[in-house]
Amino acid sequence: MPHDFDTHFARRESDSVKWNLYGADVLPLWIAEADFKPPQAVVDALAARVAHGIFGYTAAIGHASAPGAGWELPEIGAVIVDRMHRLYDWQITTADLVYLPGVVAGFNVACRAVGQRGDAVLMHAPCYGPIAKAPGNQGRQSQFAPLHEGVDADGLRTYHHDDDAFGAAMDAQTRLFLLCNPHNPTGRAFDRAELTAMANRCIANDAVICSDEIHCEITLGDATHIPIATLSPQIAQQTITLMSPSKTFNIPGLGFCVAIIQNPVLRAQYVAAMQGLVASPQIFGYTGALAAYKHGDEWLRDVLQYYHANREYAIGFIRQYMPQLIPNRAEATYLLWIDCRQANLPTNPKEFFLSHANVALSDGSAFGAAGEGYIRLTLATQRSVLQQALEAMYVALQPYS
Amino acid sequence: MRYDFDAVVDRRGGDSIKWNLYGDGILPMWVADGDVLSPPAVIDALVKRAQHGVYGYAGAPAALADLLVKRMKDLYDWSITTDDLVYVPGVVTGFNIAARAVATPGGGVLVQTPNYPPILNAAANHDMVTQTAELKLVEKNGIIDYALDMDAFTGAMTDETKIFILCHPHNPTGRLMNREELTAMAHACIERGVVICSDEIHCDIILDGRQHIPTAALSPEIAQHTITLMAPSKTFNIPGLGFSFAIIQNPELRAKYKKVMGGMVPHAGIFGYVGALAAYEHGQEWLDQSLVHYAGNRDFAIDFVKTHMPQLHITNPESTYLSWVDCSRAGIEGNPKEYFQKFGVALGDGRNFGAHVGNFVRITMACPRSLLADGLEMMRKALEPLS
Repeated sequence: MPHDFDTHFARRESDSVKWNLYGADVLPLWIAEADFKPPQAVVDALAARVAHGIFGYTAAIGHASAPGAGWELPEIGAVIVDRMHRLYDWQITTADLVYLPGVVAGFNVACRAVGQRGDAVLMHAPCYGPIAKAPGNQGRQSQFAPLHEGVDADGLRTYHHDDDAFGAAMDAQTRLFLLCNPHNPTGRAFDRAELTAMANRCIANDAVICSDEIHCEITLGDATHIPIATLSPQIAQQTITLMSPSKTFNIPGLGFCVAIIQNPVLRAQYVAAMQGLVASPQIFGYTGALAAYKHGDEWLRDVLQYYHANREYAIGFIRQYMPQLIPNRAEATYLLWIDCRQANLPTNPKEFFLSHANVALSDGSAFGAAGEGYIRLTLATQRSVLQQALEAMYVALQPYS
Repeated sequence: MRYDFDAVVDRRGGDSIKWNLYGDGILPMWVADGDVLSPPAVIDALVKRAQHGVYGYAGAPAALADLLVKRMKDLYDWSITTDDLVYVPGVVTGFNIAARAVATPGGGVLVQTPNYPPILNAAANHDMVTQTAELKLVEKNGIIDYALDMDAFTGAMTDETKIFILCHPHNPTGRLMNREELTAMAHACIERGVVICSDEIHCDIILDGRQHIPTAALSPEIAQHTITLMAPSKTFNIPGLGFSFAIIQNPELRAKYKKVMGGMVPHAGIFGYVGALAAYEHGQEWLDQSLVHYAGNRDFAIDFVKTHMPQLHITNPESTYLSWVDCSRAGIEGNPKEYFQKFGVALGDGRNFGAHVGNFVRITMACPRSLLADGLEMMRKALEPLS
């Protein structure tokens, strides 16, 4: 039986940041989080774990030499190894895995693990805020390579890796490239040629790649995800891949992420940079991730269809009623990246839709200077909520069109 | 209501590192992780949150901060504000952040020994230098105790000392430092511009009606130099929920602390907030009874050691549910922890608690009495061939 993603349920009375940051009359389509319950197996597993009644340590504490360091939570490693093989024909072992509470911590650790204070970290522009801030957090310089922005036959925005810009942004100080693939906010799932170009430049420049692939399983329609580390064994040796069930199964609040690092030297550096500060995932991250990976695939298949339909609906609505806005056609992620620069708005578009439409979106400028004049809209909600938000945006635009 | 601290819950085969590290044949009493059920109010709140079914990005409930402010006032007559609170996923992370916030690589981190391993390892995590001041071992009637050695304390400090990580109440000795000792250490730190990070994770596990004094509550001046770390983890036996808090009243110090956290350290998860709130709100009666249970376990252990294993010398902890045992006169060849493990019980290894305490073991007594009795009996059998 297909899962029901249409039934709306109250989230405001919960601890949800998404639903409580703005007022009670505002529809929140900002943060990258879905309004759906995860697979029932996840809820059941958490409920069963909680009923057990004792909540102790799941990992050694604080240091690689701590008593118990090396003990591994049961099953999860094998499940992830199997999943990489099944989805990407990628052969890894459980020894390649490092567990973390989230991908943001994951790429911050990467910044600290690679190079020295003052070295540079390269990123695409635009890119989501926590990536852009990471180098600065860790005493590194930031370098940005703009993506190439274009328009497709339908008049929708497209984004591609611009290899010349990428090469120009790199210099001798570039020790790390923070890739976001699939790309947030543009929804691009980079193809093999693009990824190969990036990787070759990194190898030539002796820069490590940290690939945030948190959206790897949110691919829509025919789009496919290629982990950059699967391009070649040589590239794998220079890559830290970050994955997580957070977006896939809508469990960001449980805090589980895995870094896949096949190069043992790089992995040791990475683990050293975590010591004391970044702990292993806790009980609920582990319990939720395990249940989701083991039992969530049918749910995932259904939810992807729902995201796909929401994307088509939103694009259709915008083209018909708000042609002054130019969205992308996200191949991956449940995010719509919308160019508002031709809409003639009196204020920043995020402020405009918040005050005139009571719809909370993400401000493009939070994704760097390349995002000025854009908004990001989260499609992962009930169709009725999406419809209501788009209609409110349409009404708000009327006086300005 | 009466809570049952003697119910034995099967923890094997799941996510517990305590129960699974050494395999099925071994009774684990090593890590400071209790085997008693959490307060029912905590379990109920977690069940309800689990059944809610959406686990998105979660904020901390405002009620939690208010509750913590009130708790500090009620328990310690310590006035703090909600702004002084910083949530962290654990106290170990908490003092590692503190080290980084006030010292750079090469800087000195002062600690007292013996001490629990994460405190001793903190400096090395950040390429800093560990400076150790030994506590003074005192023995009376076969019971061992520890006192502050102020000469050793000031003697361990150098111009490079940037931070003192205090463990108070003290793990593994169970010592509860008094006002005079705390004041002496605090003044020595302030005189030398050393920040105090006071790990008070055991602050609620105070036995026999004693009173814990937070270092920062000694004076407003000391508070300005102090980062205090507390948690419901030991108090309500919920270490795996990953909720702790720092109290930092000096805004400049707090800003530095938060800057180190940026990007690296998530605050706490959904279940950490839910569990902490329920525990602090509804857990007092459970806590009161748990302390009676722990004190009873302590007295049982002391009795057992005196009667059946007089060659061991044990602490009489004023706080914590930990017992610290000197095995140096038991005739054990090699590491006592490894020796006892051959007889079925896994204890905390003294070698991880300081250079000079390799002949000690630590026993975690936060368990049903029957498990404690089993563990002690295994130790007795282990010593039999040696006497």
